[in-house]
Amino acid sequence: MKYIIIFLLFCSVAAVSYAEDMTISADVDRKEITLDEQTTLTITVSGKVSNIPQPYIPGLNGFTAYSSGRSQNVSIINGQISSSVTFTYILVPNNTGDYALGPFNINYKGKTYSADPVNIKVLPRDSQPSAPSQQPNGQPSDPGRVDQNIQPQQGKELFIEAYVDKLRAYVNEQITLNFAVYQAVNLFNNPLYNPPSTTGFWTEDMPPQKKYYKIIDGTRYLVTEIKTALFATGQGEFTIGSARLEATVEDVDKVSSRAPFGAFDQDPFSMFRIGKTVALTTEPIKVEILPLPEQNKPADFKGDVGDFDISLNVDKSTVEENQPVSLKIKIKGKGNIKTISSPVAPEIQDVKFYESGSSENISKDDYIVQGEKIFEKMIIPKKEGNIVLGPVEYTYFDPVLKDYVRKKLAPVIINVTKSKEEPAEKNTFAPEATKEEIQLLKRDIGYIKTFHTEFRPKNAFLYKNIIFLSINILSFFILIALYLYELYRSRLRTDIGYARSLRARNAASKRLKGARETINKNMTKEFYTEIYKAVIEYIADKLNIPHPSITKDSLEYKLKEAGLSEDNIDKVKTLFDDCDMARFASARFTKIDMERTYKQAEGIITNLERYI
Amino acid sequence: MKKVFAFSFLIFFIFTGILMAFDNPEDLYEKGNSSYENGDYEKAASFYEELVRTDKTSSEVFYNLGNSYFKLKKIGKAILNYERALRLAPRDKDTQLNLKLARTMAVDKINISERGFVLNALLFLYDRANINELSLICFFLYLAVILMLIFSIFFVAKRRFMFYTAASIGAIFFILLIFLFAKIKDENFTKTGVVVAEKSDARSGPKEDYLLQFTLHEGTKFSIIKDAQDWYEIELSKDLKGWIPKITVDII
Repeated sequence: MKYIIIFLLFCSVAAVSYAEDMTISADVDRKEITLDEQTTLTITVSGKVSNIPQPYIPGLNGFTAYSSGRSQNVSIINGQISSSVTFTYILVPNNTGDYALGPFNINYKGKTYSADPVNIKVLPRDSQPSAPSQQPNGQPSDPGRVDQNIQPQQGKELFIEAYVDKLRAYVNEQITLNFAVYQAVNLFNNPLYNPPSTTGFWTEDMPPQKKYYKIIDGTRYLVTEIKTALFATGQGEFTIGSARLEATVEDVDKVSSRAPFGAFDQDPFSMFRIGKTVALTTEPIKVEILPLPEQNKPADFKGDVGDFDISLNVDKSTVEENQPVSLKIKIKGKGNIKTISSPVAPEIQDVKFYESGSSENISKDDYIVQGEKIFEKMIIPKKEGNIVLGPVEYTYFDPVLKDYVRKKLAPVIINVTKSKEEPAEKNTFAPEATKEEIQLLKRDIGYIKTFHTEFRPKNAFLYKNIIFLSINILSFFILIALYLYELYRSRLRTDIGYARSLRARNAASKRLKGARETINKNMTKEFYTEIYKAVIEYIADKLNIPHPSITKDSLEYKLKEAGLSEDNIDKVKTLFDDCDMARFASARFTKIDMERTYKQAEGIITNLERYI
Repeated sequence: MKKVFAFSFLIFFIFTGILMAFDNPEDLYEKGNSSYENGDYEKAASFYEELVRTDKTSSEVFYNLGNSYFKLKKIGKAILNYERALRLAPRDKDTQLNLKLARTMAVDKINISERGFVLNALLFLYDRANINELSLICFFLYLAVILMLIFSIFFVAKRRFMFYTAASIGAIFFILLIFLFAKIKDENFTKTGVVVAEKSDARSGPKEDYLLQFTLHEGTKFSIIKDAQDWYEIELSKDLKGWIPKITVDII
């Protein structure tokens, strides 16, 4: 019915504000709730725009808010876009009283739209704000517990409680925190459990969860207990925060409220049960932590509280020197095992101690933290003889006796024998074994040398030695000479003209020599042929012209090109004419003529050598 | 009396001098050694000195002479002769050790700047070879370069390889050549001296009238900048210069 009214209201508001671009409204599903209940805050924003901004939610005083999501609805009617977005928040009250939530604002295109504040009344737990339910009669009894803040919520199908086994405890004494869930209905899902804050305590979880049935005032509850051991780390007053449980339960209210209408609005799908989310919190618990009494406090007390026993054992009672012995000190009992520190081992001469670690074994039988902690030490005796370990003493505070207890262990004697292996073993364990430095008593100079190397002149330096220096310079000149020679050879190889011109003189001389011999034999023709060949081949070689292509005319031209003077060219021409006459016209040439021609040829070659 | 003493002394010296002049180096060396063995360090020193005065020497002579002076507690002369021995045989461990020991007994403490590891590694050869050894090493490297270049002229196919090899050897050669020049300059051109008198006063000029600046003691090594008649201008460090009389010192 309420929903209908709200809906109508909403519609009317929507109708009024239709002219505007944007509307915002806020509402809650229940305006009156108790502390264990929750209410849903719905903020609806609608407008003729496609994207709707997030509304501004002011601080929700007195509530813890959880966002439950948003749903958007976009419709296009006659080309007109209108959309609405619903933001849903689940509010869980923290305190009783009247609250006004809001106003909720939204900012869109510089304009601010706002929704009116919503009023919510939060009632204490035991009052029934809305739907009535079964009334359990009487209080649930739970003997053996410190009944301080445990007020089982009567008439509830689901409630939680938190309590401790003692409200006053010593520092480091175990306090067991109990968290119990009582349920008479089925839970739809696994409940969400937020453990209480335990600042100032050392906590130790104590599984497993204890589950049992309990009948309170005729209602059968399934009780789930979660226990946590707490050890205070300091003295004073500490607060264990409130635990919180969120669960979805079968909504009995709805089922029962529907009943009067009977078949009229009978839900045809009643087999689908309706769930509702319930958030439950417990009251914080104040605990007083007492300091440990200063009176009779032993000097070696390290803060262990509980009930402990100590034992000591060594793995061998006879050992060679420098061989390790393992020593175990075991502390066993009830109390905060993890914080136990190693008892002081007395210093013994000629014995090395090495801590080799500790191990702990903790059990939580009967929900009391107990177990054992073993400290292992390595002992290496350095000398033979008897080693007396101990007496080891250990002190703790017994909260039951309210006094300090000192446990003393009889000393353990280890017999150390002489090592059979000598120094090598010693060195491995005693790297600092003292080695004697060589003592320098007094220094003296080394003895004289009785042999001697060759006596040499004082100034016999190699760099002053003429031979040494000349070898150096000579080798450099050899290098340069070889380089130049190679340059020359490579030119001969590659430059035919150069090679020919170099060879020309020699070849000409050879031919002239041959001609010379023919003079005596009076072989005129042969003589002139040789002379001709000598001169023409010489010129061809010098000018790098192929022999056969040479004619007298081309020769004249070439010689001119080479820069030879007219005078010289004429001489060459005259010589060739003489030769031609002798060879082809068989004119008579005497020995004297031949001698003259020979001289001419020689002169020409010498001359040409100078110019080309 | 005094005259007679001086005269007999002179006679003795001339006599022994004449005797020694006819001895060859080997004999002098042996005589020195046997005197040393008999504990007559004075005599041993004189034999060795005689040997040194001839043209012929060896590092061992200087070493033994240094030892003799050391025994005679003449630290300055000992250091002088060890230094001379080291120039001929820079790697000789005995000489190095004895010189070190002799230096600890010298009065003046002169800070010798320590060279770092890198510099020591770079100057490895400089410290360990004498001038002739360095000259020889340079010579062989030089020959190697020349040979490589000659090969590179004729073996055209391997010319490039040969040329680069020659270049790398040449680089080493040049470094060593610099070492060699430095060493020659250090030992033969820069004069280094050692105080052999008990002490030597360094003045601001080459005359007794000049201001006394500082006093050097036996065994202190210095380098000589200038030579003026009876005085040397010496340098100990950048800011310690002075003139000392020649008779109090000896040149290495």
